[in-house]
Amino acid sequence: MLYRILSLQNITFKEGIKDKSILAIFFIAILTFIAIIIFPNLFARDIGKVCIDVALSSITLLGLILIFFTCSSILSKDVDKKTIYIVLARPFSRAEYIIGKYLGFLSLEVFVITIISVLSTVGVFICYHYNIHYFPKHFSFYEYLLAILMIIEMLAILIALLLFFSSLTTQGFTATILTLASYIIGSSLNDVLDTISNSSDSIKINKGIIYVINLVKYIFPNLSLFDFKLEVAHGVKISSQNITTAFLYGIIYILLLISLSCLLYKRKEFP
Amino acid sequence: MKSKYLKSLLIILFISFLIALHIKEVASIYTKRCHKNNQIGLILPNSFIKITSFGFKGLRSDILYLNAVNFLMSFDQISDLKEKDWHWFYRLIDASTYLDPYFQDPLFLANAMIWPSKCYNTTISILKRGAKFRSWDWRFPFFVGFDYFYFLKDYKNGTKWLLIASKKRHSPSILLVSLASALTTRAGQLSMGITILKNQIAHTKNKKLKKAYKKRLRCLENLVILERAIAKYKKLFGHYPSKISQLLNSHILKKLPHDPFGAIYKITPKGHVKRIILKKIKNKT
Amino acid sequence: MIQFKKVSKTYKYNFWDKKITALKELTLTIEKGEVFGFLGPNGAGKSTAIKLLMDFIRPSSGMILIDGIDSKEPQARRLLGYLPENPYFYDQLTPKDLLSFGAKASGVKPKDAKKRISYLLKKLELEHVSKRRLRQFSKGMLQRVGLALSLVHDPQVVVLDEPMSGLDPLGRTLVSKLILELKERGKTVFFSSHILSDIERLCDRIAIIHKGELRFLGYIKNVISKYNEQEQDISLPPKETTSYKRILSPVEKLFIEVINQ
Repeated sequence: MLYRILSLQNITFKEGIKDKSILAIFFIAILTFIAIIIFPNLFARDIGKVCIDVALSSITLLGLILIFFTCSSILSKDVDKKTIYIVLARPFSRAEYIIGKYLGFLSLEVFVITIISVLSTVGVFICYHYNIHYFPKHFSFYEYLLAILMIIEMLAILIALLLFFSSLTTQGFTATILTLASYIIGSSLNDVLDTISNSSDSIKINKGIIYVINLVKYIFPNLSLFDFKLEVAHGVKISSQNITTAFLYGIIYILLLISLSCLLYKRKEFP
Repeated sequence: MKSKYLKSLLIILFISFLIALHIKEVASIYTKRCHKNNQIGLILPNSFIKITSFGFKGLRSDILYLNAVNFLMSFDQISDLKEKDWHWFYRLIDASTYLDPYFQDPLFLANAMIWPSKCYNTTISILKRGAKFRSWDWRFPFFVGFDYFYFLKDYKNGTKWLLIASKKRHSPSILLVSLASALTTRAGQLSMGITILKNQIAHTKNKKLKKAYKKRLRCLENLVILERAIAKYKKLFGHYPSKISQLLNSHILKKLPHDPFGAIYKITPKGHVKRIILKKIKNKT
Repeated sequence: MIQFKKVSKTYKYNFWDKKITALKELTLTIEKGEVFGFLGPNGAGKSTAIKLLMDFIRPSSGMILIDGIDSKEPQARRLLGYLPENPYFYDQLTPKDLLSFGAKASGVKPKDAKKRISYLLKKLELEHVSKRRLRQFSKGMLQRVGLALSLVHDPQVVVLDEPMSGLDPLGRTLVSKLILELKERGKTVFFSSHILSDIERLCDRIAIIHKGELRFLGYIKNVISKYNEQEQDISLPPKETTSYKRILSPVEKLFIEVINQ
C-alpha cells in the first residue's frame, strides 16, 4: 500500500516539477530576491521590518501561485481529462489515490518553498548584514524559519481543501474557485471577527450577519492563525502556545479534510 | 531546443529594453497619481483595508506609508499643505499604522509632522496606538506625553504618559522624569512632580540614578518653599513680590534656597516661580 | 474470467435531468484465454460497460466479478491491464516515468520492471522517444504508450477500449500482432472496437450491444460460416446495390442485421 502511495506521490511530484509554471515561479523568486535587497532602502528606520515583510509575503504569494496554478491544473486534468484512469486502473483504492495525490502536492510545495526560502533568506541575510542597526533588536533567524514553517502548514491546509472540493465537484475549475474563496474567507476571518467585536454602538451590525459569520468561523479554516509575519518582522517574541495551537489546529484540520475527501471519493464516479 | 531558449532570451531582453525605455514615463504616471492635486476617491475605512489585505498586512502597510511619503514629496514645501491635504496625509498614516501597529516609520513621520500640520489629536491617537503595541519602546509614550504638554497644555495626561515612558526598559529615565517634573513646574503642579520623583526614587536601585533624581527633587522642593513664601507674602501685602529678594527683606524666608542646577529664580506676574536655566533640556524629536 | 451479472447503469447528468439508461441488465461471461470483441455503434454502452468493469463508475444494480473477486475491490484490478479510449496522460512525464509508475503501482519488482519496460518500449517502437515528454506526442504515439502502460505488469486480462482508433495502418498491424501474441500466451483480451475487419481477424467470440442491451453473443467462426452461405438474405435498403453488398464482410452483415432488428 505504502509502495503504491509513494509511486503516485512520485509521479505527481514529477509532473508538477516539470511544469512550465514552476519556471515562472522561480523567475519571480529571483525578482523578489532582488526586491528584498533593494525595496527596504526606501524606508527610513524599519528597514529590517520591510525586508522581512517582503521576504515572507513573497514566499506566501509564490506558494499560493503554486497551488492555484500548478496543483490545481494537475488536479483538474485528472478529473476533466481523465488522467485519473491511469491511476484507478491500478490496484489503488480511492483513499490511496487521495493520500498519494496529497503527498505529491505537499512534497512539491515543500520542495518549491524550500528553494524560494533559501533564496529569500540569503536576501534577508545580505540586507541584515548591511543594515544591522535597523533590524529589530530581538530579530532571530530561528523565528523567521518558524514563520516559514507555519506558511507551509497553511499551504498544506489549502492543498487539502483543493482535494476536498475536487471530491465535491465534477469540474476541476470549480474546485479551484472554491479553494480560492476559502483562502479569501480564511485569511480575512480573524479581521472580520475583530471588526465585529470592536464595532461601536454607532455602527450596528445586523444580528443575522453576526450569526452567519459565527457559523463561518466553525466551517472555514482560520488561516490568520498561521500568520506570524508581523511578529517576526518586529522581533516580537512568538509565544510557543500560539505556535503549538496553530500547529495542532492545522494538523487536525488537514486530517479531517483528507478523511472526508477519502469518504467522498469512495462514492465518486468518473464517467 | 537551444534555439528555443535563445529566442525566449532575446524576447525577454527586448521586453526589458522596452520597459527600461518607458520606466521614466511609468514612474511619472505613478507620481501623478499620488500627486497633490489628485486625491483620487477616498481611502477606505481601516477595518476594510485590513480585511481585504488577506494576510499581507505588513506589505500593505509598507505601501500605504510609501504613498504618504510620496504625497508629501509632491509638494515643494511642507507649508504648502492645506488642511484637507493634511487630512489626507493622516488618513494614509492612520491606515498604515492600523495595519501594522508596530511599524515605526509612519509613527515617526506622524510625530515629525505635528508641528506644521497642527493635527494634534490625530497624531496623539496614532502615537498612542504605537505606544500600546510597541510595549518595550519608550519613545512613543514619550512623544505622546510631550505632545500633550507642548501642544495641548494637557499637563495631567502629559505627566501620565511621560511616566509610562520612563518605566520602559532602556529609557533615559533621568531625562524623562526631569522633563516631566520640569513641565509640571511650569504647570504649578509641584506636589505632583514631587510625588512622581519620590516614587521614582523608591523604585530605583541604581545609585547614580537615585542621586540624579534626588537632585531634581531638591529643585522641586525649593520651588515649593518659594511658592509658599510668595503666597504668604501676598497674604501680608496684598500683592505678589516682583523680586525674590523681597521675600528675604520681609523676613518671610530666612535664606534663599540654592538651586542644584544653578538656575536663577524669577517671579512671574501671576505669582509663579520661574527658573531661568542656562542650558535647556532639548527634546529628542 | 470476467462475469457481468445483470449489470444495469443509469446516469443522471444533472440533478434535475431525467435518468438515462446506459446499460440494461447485461449478463456476460468471458472465458479465460479468449479474445473477446465488444461491438456496438456510438453511444451503445460499450465504454460504460468497460468503465464499470474498471470500477470508474458503479453499477446501479448487479455485480461484476473478475476471477471471482468483486470489481469494487482494488485487488481485482491487479489482474487487469487497461487502455482508455482516448489516452491522455500527464503532459510533462516521459514514457519511461509513466511505465515505471505503472509497474510500481501494480507491485512489479524493480528488477523485473526495468526489463519489462525496455522490452515493451522496443516492442511498440517507442525506444527513440522514451525520454521525450508526452506533451509532444501525436495521438497514435500516445495510443502506443497507453498500450505499453496497460501491459507493463504482464496482466492476466487486458481490457482495451478502442485500441485501433487513431492508429495508422502500421500501428494497427502492430497492435493486431500484439493481441495475437497475448492470446498465444494464454492471456484474456477484452476489447471494444468500431473497426469490424480487425474484430473478424482477431476475435474468438463477439458480443454486439445496442442501446444498452446485449443483442448478439456468439463465436466468430459460426458467424462467418453462416453469412458466407446465405449471402442474399440481408435486408438492406433497396438503394444499396449488390456491388455494395458484395464487399460487406460477414461480421458487417451481422452487425447491420442486429442493429436493424
